[in-house]
Formats: sequence, structure tokens, C-alpha cells
Amino acid sequence: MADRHLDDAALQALEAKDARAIAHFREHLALPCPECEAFLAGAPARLWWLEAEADRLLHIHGAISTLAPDATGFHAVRRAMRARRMRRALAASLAAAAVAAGLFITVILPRAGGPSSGREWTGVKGPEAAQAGPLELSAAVVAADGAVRPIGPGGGARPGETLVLRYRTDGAGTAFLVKSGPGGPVALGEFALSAGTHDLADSGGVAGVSLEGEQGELRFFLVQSSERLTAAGAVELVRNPAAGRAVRVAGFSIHVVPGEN
Amino acid sequence: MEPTAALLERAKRGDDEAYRALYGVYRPAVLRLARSFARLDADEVEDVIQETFVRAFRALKGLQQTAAFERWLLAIARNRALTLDARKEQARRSTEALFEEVPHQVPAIPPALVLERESAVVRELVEEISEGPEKETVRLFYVEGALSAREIAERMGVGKSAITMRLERFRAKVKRELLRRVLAIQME
Repeated sequence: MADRHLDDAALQALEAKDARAIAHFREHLALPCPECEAFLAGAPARLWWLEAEADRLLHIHGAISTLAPDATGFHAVRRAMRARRMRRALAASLAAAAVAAGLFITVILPRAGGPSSGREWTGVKGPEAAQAGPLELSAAVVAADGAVRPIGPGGGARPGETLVLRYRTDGAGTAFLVKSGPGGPVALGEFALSAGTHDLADSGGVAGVSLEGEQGELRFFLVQSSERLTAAGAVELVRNPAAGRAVRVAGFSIHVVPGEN
Repeated sequence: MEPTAALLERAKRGDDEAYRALYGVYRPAVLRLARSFARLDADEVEDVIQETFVRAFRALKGLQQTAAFERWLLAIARNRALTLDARKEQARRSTEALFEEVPHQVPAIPPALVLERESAVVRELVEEISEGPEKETVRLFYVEGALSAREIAERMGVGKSAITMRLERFRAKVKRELLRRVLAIQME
């Protein structure tokens, strides 16, 4: 017992209130112990209460200095809460909205759980490559019943579902969303981007792409250029990434598998 | 200042001012927690804060033990930060894990821990560390609290993951001490 360190078995004994184990570890943990601390750093899931309590001690009662007050953050939280209430209310109508194959719809969608990230293809071309920051796409899928699930690059979706894209960038600007499927690339719309991580949205709310009637691999590209782009220009940049213009492109692909609705 | 319990009751009824007050009280703690993840940039730290409060406020009606609000909120924040951090590493996480953001149950907390409200505990544990970069990292982040882990990495000229590891090692010391105190109470 003298050399016993924390491990799963020891934790089980402590949870069972084994008197010998409790007596041992009460003394043992009074001094620094690299083995036990390594185990605790690994944070067994069932010890989350200890994690939370450590955070409470460290972050609520621990630090002395005060950080700069936040003037705008609560407004963002309030906006997000209101938007989500609207999204929940409208989620049930998604199936009816996503009717036309390939039709780009602007709908308000839930994003519970958040989309999973992907960097399937993030490209920077042209003379501004050195200055360009990240442009990344991630996605979530909304089922016909409004349920949301994250989808990774190359992940599977069904024709009755709707894809919601999320981008991350370090600067404001505009970008075209281009969809590339068996019929070739087609521009779906132009969007204003702002720095940070945001759902792709326009004035109507979060943008969703109906997958109704789709099949096989679909690739989505967010195309941003320092020069004024047209929809045709964005499509051309997707067709020919080596066009030589100062452009940033983020890509995300999915596979639409029919017959599973 | 209105007690947290009263604010929570009002917030559960949808009182916007209560939400605002809770946000004001607890944002600094969530901010500190998020800033301990050195791989997260400033935008992502703000994402963690926003998502944490949105998720917490949305789930507030289901929180039975209002006394557990602080640790419940911080557990949400840690889950959120870990998820973003894992994404940055492009680690593969299951779909289920991505949705596991809000703990549905708050386990009973040993009464001894509820009494832990003193920064003295943190200071004593900091003193326990030998002089060197590790102690300096912990002092800068947990005692002074003005710099993020990312900023500390830049100031000390070391990698972000090294700072994260130093802070996690210190958190493990805190957990060791808290666990010891629980066991001491159980022996009484």
C-alpha cells in the first residue's frame, strides 16, 4: 500500500469508501506526487466534478487581477439566444422549404452542437498569399425533422437534408459560395463575411443548401478575392484554381447517399 | 449585488436583466478558463464564452441545484473549449461527443469542497512549485491573471502546447489537493 498511486482501481476503492484506501491517499496526496498528478491530469471522465471544482477555485476565486470589462459580449449572447429560438421554431418547416433539387434556399437553421471542422481544401493563390489569413469551412446537416448533426469533410448526408456551412476568417469581405457536383460548378450566392467564426448567412438568416435531388459527391467552395468577383468569375476560379488571381478558397465536400430517408 | 440564487430564479423565468447580471458576474471566470487553452485565438475564446452562456441559459430551467451553477457553467465552458481545441488539432471526435456539451446531471459535491473559496489554496500550491519557467507560467496565468496562455507563450518564447501542459500540470496539483481534502473529511 505504501507505494500505491492513483489509478482506476484506486479510484474505484475510494468511491467505494474503502477505509484503507481513504487513509492511504489522504496521507499520500498531502505531498506532491508526479504519478498521481499525471493520473489526475488525464482526468477520468467520472471525475468531472473535480475538474469543475478545480476550475471554480482557479478561475472564480483564484486570480487576483480583474480583466477588462466586456461591453458587447452579452448582446451577442442575447442575439444568439433569440436567433436560436427562431431557428427552433422554423426547423420543422425545413422539409417543405427544401423542395427543389439544387435550389439554394435561405432558411434559418439550428446549429446545436456546432458543426464539425474541416480543412479539406483551403487554398491561397496569387500575390497576396503571404498576407492572407485563414479561410476555413465547416458544416452541419439539418434533417427533415429539424435534428442537427455535425458532418466532417467527406461525410454522408441524405437528399432530404439541408447543409449549413460555417466559415472562419480573419478579415471582413465578401465571398461567393460555389457548389460543384456532377453537373459542374454553380455559384449559389454572394455573402458578406466578418472576422471570426460565423454561420454563412445573409439578410434572411443562416443560409442552408437543400440536398433534395442530389446524389454522390458534392463539393462546396467559398471563394474570396481581393478583386471584384462575379458569380461567373467565382465558378471559373473553382474550375481553374491556378488562375493566378489573388484569391482565397475554402472547400468542403460531402457525399449524398439516396434512399436512406 | 443580488445573490446568484436569486438571479438564477429570475433568469429561469426569462428575465433579461438577470441574464445580463449573471453574464457580468461569471464572464471573467469563463474568459480565464478559455484563455488557458493556448491554441485558441482571441476570436475562438470569444466563441467559447458566447457558446457557453447561450448553452447554459438555454438549459437553465433544467438545472435542479442552483448551488451547483458555477461548476456546471465551468464544465460547459471546459467542454466547449476542449471541443474547439480538439478541432484545431483536427482530432477525430465522435458525433456524440460534439453534442455532449451540457452536463445533464450535477453530481453531489462533497461539502468540504463547497467551502473552498480562498485564493490562499492556489497561492500555497504555487509556492510548492520549484522556481523556474513552470512556476513563472503558473504565476503569470493563475495569480496575476492578466495574460492569456497564448500571450504567455509569446512572452516566454516557448510553444503554446508547452504552456498548456504547464497549466494542466498545475491544475492536477489543485485536483490532488481538493481530492485530499475530500478524503480528510471522509475520515473524520
